[in-house]
Amino acid sequence: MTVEYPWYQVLDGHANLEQGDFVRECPIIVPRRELEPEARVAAHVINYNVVIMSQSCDLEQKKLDLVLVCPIYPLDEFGSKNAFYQSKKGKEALRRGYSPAYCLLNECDIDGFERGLSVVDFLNVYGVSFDLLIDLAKTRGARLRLLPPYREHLSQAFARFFMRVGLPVDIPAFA
Amino acid sequence: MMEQQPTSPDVTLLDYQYAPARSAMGEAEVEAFPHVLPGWIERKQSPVHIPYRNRWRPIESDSSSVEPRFELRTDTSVVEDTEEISDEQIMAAMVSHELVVRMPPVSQFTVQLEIRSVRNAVPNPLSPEVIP
Repeated sequence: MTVEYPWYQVLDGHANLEQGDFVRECPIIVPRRELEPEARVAAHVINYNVVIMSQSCDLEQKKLDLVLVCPIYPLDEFGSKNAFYQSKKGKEALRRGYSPAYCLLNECDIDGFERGLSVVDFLNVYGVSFDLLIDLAKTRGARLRLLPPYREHLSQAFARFFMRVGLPVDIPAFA
Repeated sequence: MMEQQPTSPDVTLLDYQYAPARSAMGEAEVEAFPHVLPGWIERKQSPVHIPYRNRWRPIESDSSSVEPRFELRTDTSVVEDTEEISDEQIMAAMVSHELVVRMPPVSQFTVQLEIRSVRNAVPNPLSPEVIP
């Protein structure tokens, strides 16, 4: 018997934020120089499509002020910037988890939220104000959410990226 | 020869192509022991079936048994099906390529900030959760 395990679902904007929620055009403010009190400075606002990486339990219990998010890009666009990830071997490397800095997510065919294969970038992690994210979620309405166990798969890949260790002198391989 | 077809709950694709499972008697036994059977038993030249040719194969399958197995694939991608690429091939390709990709943002612009205050963060330690 076939059992369905959908990757995504759509939520109302007022639903609580959880790990695996996607936020479109999340603003990241980057000051150009050190900030001093009562100064007027120029700053860049850079919008990324992101996925929330902070744990759902921490979000629900409001244990944090800054929510960790990672950018997410369409695989086609990602591959256009790097010939390896445009190749079949590169895509297969992503799919098998051989590129620890990135995680491949499946397509979405939900009406209004259609998108192709996507790549989450663990190299660039941002802390975004929790209050800002809540406000963005409410004002922007329905949003997409990554469902279990794919969400935990993403979380595990994220953890694996940060816990990897390169041994300077490794044990020789067995012949 | 009795043809066994997967029932609708077993198949999620309407245009899913599959090879009919072999019955317990007939072709399987004939082919397994051709040298012991009388020559007057004719073996039909059945057309070559290429099972599960659908490029998008969400289901792993095995039609070699009288009870075909259909299971959801554990792969996390629906990338177009390809020849099997070995780990060694992938690793060799990864050595010769830059693996970090610098992607542009969705959009960006410049604003003027009026700094109202600058302060150091104050820790907000949480009590350790009680482990029963």
